[in-house]
Amino acid sequence: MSGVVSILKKEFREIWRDPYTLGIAIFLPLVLLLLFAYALNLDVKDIPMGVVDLDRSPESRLYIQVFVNTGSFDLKYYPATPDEAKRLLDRGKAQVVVLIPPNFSRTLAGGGTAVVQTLVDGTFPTSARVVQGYVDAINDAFTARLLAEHFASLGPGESLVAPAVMAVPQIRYNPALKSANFIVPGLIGVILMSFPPLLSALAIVREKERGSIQQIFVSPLRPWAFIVGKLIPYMIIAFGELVLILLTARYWFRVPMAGSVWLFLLASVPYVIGTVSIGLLVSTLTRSQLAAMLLALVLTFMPSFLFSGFMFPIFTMPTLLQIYSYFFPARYFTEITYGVFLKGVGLEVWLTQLAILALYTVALVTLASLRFKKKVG
Amino acid sequence: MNRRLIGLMRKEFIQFFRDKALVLLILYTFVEIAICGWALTLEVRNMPIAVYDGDRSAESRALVDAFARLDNFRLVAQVDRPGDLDRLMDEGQVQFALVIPPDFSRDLQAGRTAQVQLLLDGSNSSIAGQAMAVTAGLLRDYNERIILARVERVGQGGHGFLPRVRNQIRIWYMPQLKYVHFIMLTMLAISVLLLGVLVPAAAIVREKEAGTFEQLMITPITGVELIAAKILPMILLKLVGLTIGVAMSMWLFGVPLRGSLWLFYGISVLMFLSSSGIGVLMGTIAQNMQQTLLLAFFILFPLAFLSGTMVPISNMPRAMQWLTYLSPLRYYVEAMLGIFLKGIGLEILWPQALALAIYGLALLGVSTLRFRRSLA
Repeated sequence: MSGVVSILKKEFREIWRDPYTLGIAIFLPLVLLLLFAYALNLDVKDIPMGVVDLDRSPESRLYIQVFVNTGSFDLKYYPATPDEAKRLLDRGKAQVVVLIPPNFSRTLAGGGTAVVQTLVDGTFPTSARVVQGYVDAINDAFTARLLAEHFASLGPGESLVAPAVMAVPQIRYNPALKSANFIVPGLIGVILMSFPPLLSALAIVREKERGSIQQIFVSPLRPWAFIVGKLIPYMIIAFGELVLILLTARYWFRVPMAGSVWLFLLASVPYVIGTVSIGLLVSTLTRSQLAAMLLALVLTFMPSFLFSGFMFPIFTMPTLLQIYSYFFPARYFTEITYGVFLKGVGLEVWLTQLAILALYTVALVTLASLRFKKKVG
Repeated sequence: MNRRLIGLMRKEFIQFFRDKALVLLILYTFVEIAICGWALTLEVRNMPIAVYDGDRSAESRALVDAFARLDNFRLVAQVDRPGDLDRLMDEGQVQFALVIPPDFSRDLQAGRTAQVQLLLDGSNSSIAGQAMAVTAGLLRDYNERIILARVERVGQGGHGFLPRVRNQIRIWYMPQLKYVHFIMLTMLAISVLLLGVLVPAAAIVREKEAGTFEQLMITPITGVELIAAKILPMILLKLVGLTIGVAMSMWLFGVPLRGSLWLFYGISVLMFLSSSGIGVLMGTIAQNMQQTLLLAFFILFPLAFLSGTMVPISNMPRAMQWLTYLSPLRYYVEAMLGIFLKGIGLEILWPQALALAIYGLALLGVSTLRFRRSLA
């Protein structure tokens, strides 16, 4: 026991002497949180837009005006020809160009279907998709009004063109559709999976690089005491990060907390122990700090970022990768996080996830310690 | 190239390739991109949905079929009580549910607007928004058919007199909106930045920690030579990695190459220079390896973030948009997407190339000065 305490003391002293590391461990998560929450806004607005109006009639101007009125488009360019419009897209100046043909108003007056073209820059598929949805909706609204006016002028025909089926959406858990409510809780699992394992892996590989680990091996200190003493400080840092993120989420981003914060903290215990143990595992696999960092990135940060369902929905992935995502604890933790934060569901719903998380951690700790012991022996 | 430089580079090559795990990891980083390209998409596909059909008529079944037929949705449950939908949503089994009321077909036949209810899990706002857009598109087609039939039946205005606008949307550069093309290219760019910064920084700090830095200082080697010797072997390795990445993107995922491959390699070398510039500068600042790596983490995230790879730059708050000019990755990603997808050349991309060159030379210049100062 005294061995653990002396390693603990040494480790704390080392962390303390390097305020740089401590500062990064504490502030980097906050920087990440702010960057993500402010920038990761996939709501599209002020889309730079151009119009080639070859008709120049009141009707065509009205059609364009509908785009401007939505507030989503920023009409900045009036290229004279379709070729000029394409150059605007090439240069990335405009993201959308609407081409109105010369016979637009004539066709409408004759009761036909006027065909307008919209060019959308598809290099950013997500925003292109949103733009596509907007353009469709705007065109629908315009056409519906045209039809309604036309039938109204003919007499009592308006009900003919009323929509047959209308969908009334009811949005749950995040009714305002605020992306911060999704991003900020989702980041908790990612951040806890990135820094604590990295720090603990570096702490051990550092001693390997320096050669000071040999001295510890020849000392009467038991391997488990060394591991425990090395890992506890980083667990404490990890919990510090967790509390900091929770407070920022709650009081800065005003993310709702529908469930019980205590249940959430309970779930984070196995997760945090697990993350630090991955660091230990990484340290048994690598010799240099750079390699340890890259391996930690590959094993922890990337999967938790990509396969936890935080940014990329798991149901869209190929089956094989859906199975792959079950191998990373971040997935279970993130499910619990959303359950607690947004849905307010309790233990009865995510007992399975919690059990898997606990099992995972036990397995990790055992594996890492075994590998570590073998090295010593 | 003088002999001193060659000797120094040989040493760097040997030292660099001795850490087998590191070399493998660097190459693996480019392979991992392939997994991402395969797996990741932000579009709604196979979204699990549940249905409560309170009407059980031919009409309501037709509507449910219309939903189930789309690639976007996958019908996983048909429940008997509307309350069951709540449980499915709470457990996260479905993110989307359709409720058809008992009087659905009666309303339709009477010519009234029939209402259906959509229950949406709004947690992931962009997914929820897309699901609504898909539903709107489905109902648009559905309604149009019914309205046309009604108008024709009444005979009012006749078939030939329906003023309508059809908007043909054409997506340029990526007609099927293949997210995989975008993600392959941007992940490749991020790996270039990540390794470009990390590896040189680590190489310099390693010399510092080993104490061999002082020995190099007292040799006649100049700062420029030292930096060149450190950077060149890595650039070669990264070119190999990049080629693997590009080859995979093009052959496995069908990413088109519409512009010049040589231009792309040229701009990539400029990107290597500017990312190495960041790395070398970090190496001169940090005291030990741990500091270097954490500092790299600290700097790389904002740089990657402010490049438009995760979020389109036009979506960011104004102040953040200005900050993106500080990230070399921004210029590189613009050039990369431009060359591969748009097929544009240097006549449009010269500002990006110039920015990368200036960025790299300025940082490497500052680093050389710092070396010289520590020599004095």
